[in-house]
Amino acid sequence: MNIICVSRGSRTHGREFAEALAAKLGYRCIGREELFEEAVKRRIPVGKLETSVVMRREPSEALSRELEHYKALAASMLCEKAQQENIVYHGRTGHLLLPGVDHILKIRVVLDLESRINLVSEKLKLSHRKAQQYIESIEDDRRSWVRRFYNVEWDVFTLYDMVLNLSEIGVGNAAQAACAMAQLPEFQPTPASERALEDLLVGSRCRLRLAEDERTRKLSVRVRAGAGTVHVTHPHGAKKGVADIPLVLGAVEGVRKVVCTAAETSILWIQEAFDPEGASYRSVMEIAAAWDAAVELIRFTPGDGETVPVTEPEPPAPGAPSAWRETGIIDDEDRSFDDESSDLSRLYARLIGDGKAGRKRALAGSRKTLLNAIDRDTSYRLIVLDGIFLDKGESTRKRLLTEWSNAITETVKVPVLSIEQIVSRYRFGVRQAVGMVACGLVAAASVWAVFHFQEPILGFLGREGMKWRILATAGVALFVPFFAQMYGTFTHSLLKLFKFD
Amino acid sequence: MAIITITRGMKSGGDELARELERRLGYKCMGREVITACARKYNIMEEDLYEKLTEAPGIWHRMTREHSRFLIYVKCALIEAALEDNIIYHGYAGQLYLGGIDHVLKIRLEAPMEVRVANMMDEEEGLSAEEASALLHKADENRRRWVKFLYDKDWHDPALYDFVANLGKITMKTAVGIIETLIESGEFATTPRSVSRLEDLLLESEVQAAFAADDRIWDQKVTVSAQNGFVTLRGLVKARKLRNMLAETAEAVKGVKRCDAHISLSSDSLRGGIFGHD
Amino acid sequence: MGDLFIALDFTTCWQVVLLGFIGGVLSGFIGSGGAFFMTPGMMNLGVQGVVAVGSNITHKFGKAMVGSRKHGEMGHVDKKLGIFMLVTALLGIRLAVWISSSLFGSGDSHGQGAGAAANLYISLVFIIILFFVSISMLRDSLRKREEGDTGPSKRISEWLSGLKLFPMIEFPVADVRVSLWVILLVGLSVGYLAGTIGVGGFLGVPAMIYVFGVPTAVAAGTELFLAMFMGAFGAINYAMEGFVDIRLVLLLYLGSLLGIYIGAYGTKVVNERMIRLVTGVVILLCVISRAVAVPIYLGQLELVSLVEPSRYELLNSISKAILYLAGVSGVLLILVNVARGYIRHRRAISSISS
Repeated sequence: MNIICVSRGSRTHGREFAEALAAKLGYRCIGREELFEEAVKRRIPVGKLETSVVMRREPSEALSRELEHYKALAASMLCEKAQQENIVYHGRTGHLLLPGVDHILKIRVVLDLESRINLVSEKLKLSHRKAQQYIESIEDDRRSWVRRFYNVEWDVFTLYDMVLNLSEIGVGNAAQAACAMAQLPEFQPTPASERALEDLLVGSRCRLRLAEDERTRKLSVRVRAGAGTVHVTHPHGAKKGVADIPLVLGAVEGVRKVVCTAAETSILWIQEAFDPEGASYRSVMEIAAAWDAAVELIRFTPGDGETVPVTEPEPPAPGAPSAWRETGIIDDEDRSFDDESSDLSRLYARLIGDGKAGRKRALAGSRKTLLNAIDRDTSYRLIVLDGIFLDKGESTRKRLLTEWSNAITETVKVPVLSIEQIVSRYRFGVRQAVGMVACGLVAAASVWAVFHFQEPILGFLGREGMKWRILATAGVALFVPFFAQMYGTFTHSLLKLFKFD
Repeated sequence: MAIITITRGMKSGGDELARELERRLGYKCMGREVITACARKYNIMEEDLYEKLTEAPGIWHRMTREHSRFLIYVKCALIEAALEDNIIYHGYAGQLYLGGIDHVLKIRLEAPMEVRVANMMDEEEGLSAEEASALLHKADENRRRWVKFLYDKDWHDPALYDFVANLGKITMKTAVGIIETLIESGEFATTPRSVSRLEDLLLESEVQAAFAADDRIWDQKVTVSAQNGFVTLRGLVKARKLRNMLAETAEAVKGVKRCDAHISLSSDSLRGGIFGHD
Repeated sequence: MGDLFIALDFTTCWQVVLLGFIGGVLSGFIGSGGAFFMTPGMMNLGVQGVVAVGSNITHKFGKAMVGSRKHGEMGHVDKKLGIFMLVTALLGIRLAVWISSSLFGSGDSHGQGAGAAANLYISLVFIIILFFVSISMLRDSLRKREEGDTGPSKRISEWLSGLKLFPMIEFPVADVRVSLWVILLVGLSVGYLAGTIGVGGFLGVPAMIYVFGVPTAVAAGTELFLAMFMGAFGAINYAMEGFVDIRLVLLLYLGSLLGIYIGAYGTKVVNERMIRLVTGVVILLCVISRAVAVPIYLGQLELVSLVEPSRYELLNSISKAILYLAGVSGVLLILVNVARGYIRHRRAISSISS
């Protein structure tokens, strides 16, 4: 169903706006307070969570888990309601709880500072200056909260679809404008976004269950669901409780299969078609093994042309599915998605066998679709983008690959490499061997020289007199890093030879 | 009926939005034309004017006299244009000049970086993605510093605008639709009161322009406020002579019916103790 | 050569390389330090305290240059914060070098007394500071971290961070606002301690986290940035005084540049809490080892004679033994885990080809 998320600061008439909008559209209105109440009922220490941010303290392990617990609760509550009816949610950053659900209309409402100061000063009986300080400190805390827990800047425009300033526009008229927007095709649920919502619901329910079950309460895990299969990633050390995960999750509604992977980090692998038997699998796996990373797969079919249009293109010919470019999964992909013999599934099966399986997805669309599909919540250490634009010429393919890689790095701040780049980085070929030997020789020569000539050298270093001192210091300052570099390169290459990276 | 200002980062699609609105609402679009008209009126090289407006303040944040003059001139030109009503201004930080006027709808456009990079590469031949991106970032940074320096405001502060549209998610057509709705709602309709406020603003700017044209008084710290042709000057100067010059210059401006100079002399405040007078 | 630089025979050389190796492994594993092991280790071999510290700092300088490039790519450095702290840190180093070298010069030049004052001073600072560090680390890792986290040492730092002395400076990357005076004070202390005992990261990183409230990743990155410059400055200072033994530096490298990669590899396979526990124990043992050696210096200075001179050799051996016990056991633990991880890795790779 339709979802509108209204993000408001304190005292910005945000609540009135949300309620007016909900009334106009006939949607259900939910506020952050409701989520909080439920959290308190379930004994989640929300007060402590807020305090730890305000005091700028690193949350302890236990507190981080409570945060995950809260997020899971909030997400599951929102998803459940969103599945049953159309909703307007108002709070700080509700949409961050629902990543991957593309049809959410994200509105931010603001009010100019003066009006807010007046409101606060009236309500709390504070002087103008104190009221201003109060508002600024709340905003500061809010910014920290969002930054620490979601890793984004709260007030960046690109986080929202539109921002409305309620000082100039009355609540009623703003609601009217937002109303019009809500009816647009961009914000209607699509099969892809509904599926995303369902996955989120199952995922957060699972996370919630894990957080509330005695056996698994103390585990730090990440849970992602896809079409009934739940992927749970956990760090290595934890032994207790891990075995219980499948049992605990088995009882959750919507769960068909549970896959547990022990991994410290994740790698995202995107290709247009996968070759389960190919050499690229081995290359990626080497890195995954070295970094102890789970591998997530996306089979992506670029649907559109090279450039992303700023304006809306010509209206589609009658009969063509109008939202084709924006949907995630095209119909015929759906069927093969679960097909056991597809390349994606076979690769996935291999990953499971090697204990490194993360999620798998099949998507199609424009570059924007791909960018939106990358999970912002997961900290990927690397994204592998290769084997894409297969139907284009060599040079076009290269150019597009570079463009898309840059776009991804720019947006999600994760390095993007092609298979070839990976191989060359970790290759130990002739060039590396020569370099290693050369550095080794230089280092050995230096050591021999220093020891053979130790008396004169030490004498030189110890000689009195400013001129000698400076010379000696300069000598040390230059020689030492040089030696460190030479010898360091040698040992690094040596260890690389033994695949110790 | 209203004045619309569009603020956006470089290559975000602002020109296109302006043209669309022009078409749909029948308003007149103004961008660079304001600068051209201004240059002609005050007899300055258009390129000079343009450059000064886009250049970020120097390291020492000192405003040169030229800078200060040019900005005042542009403000005058803009407000004059605004009086024609039903215009869309999509130039440099227009809405900052038109503060306090009710019938201005201040729009901010935002587009995701990769779209802007793509636009940039389309429009300028031979740029690589990295170069385009670097240029855009630099342009954004320049603008941010400029706005901060001149108005002590954060360019990114949403409270400066009435409506921010993110073209990464909504289409141009949708944005245009919303703006139409907002205009039709009547919130931004011109009222006699707001027009008169605009006229006052124009008068203030013209007085300031007159000051800026005079070597001797351009950098005096004096605020100008006007209401229905009655101008009040407030500030602090070092010499009586300066006070007189300011008052005379102001009164000479066309449209000023009377000028009250509530300007203190800095020496006065020493004499008058805590409660310095005049 | 005078009593400044000791004679290096074959065994001693290998011991230094071993020291470097152990220091490197520990350093790669815990992310900073290693100096707490190498400095006393060298002193046990008879190296003068000032030379030990000087050579150690020089060694750290080169190593930081090699290592920092990799970390630099990962971002997380708040350069502004780094520069602010650097200003006073450099002052602190200068102060430290000045004190240490004057103490060294002040002892009479008869026989053993020469470096004893400096040795004593360095050892005392070492013991006091690292005692607190190790205790708080141990307490941290042993206690359940369920509840809040204020121990006595942290209360001081929280009070410090609560002080809002003008001027307050904003650091965007680290996302904190700190009083200028607090920064300068912390910078000075870090510099002074780095210059005196050669230990930098152990104090810099927690200081940034607890006193300023900087996130861990940014603290670690900024510390590396700092270490590079502090190391350079310290090296230059000590070299100017003539206290750098280039042979020791090279020998240390031979061991450490191998150990550091191995240690870094080890971080992937061991639990965080275990790391802290191991580190805490190792440091504590180093502290005890130093404490055992203190009577020697006291005796040499003829301040207090707790023990007969004939026992000095014995005390030194005991001190050395405890130190090696600490280092070797820590390293063995790490190596065992590294080996385990490596084998697992190789097994995983080979299973793919099938």
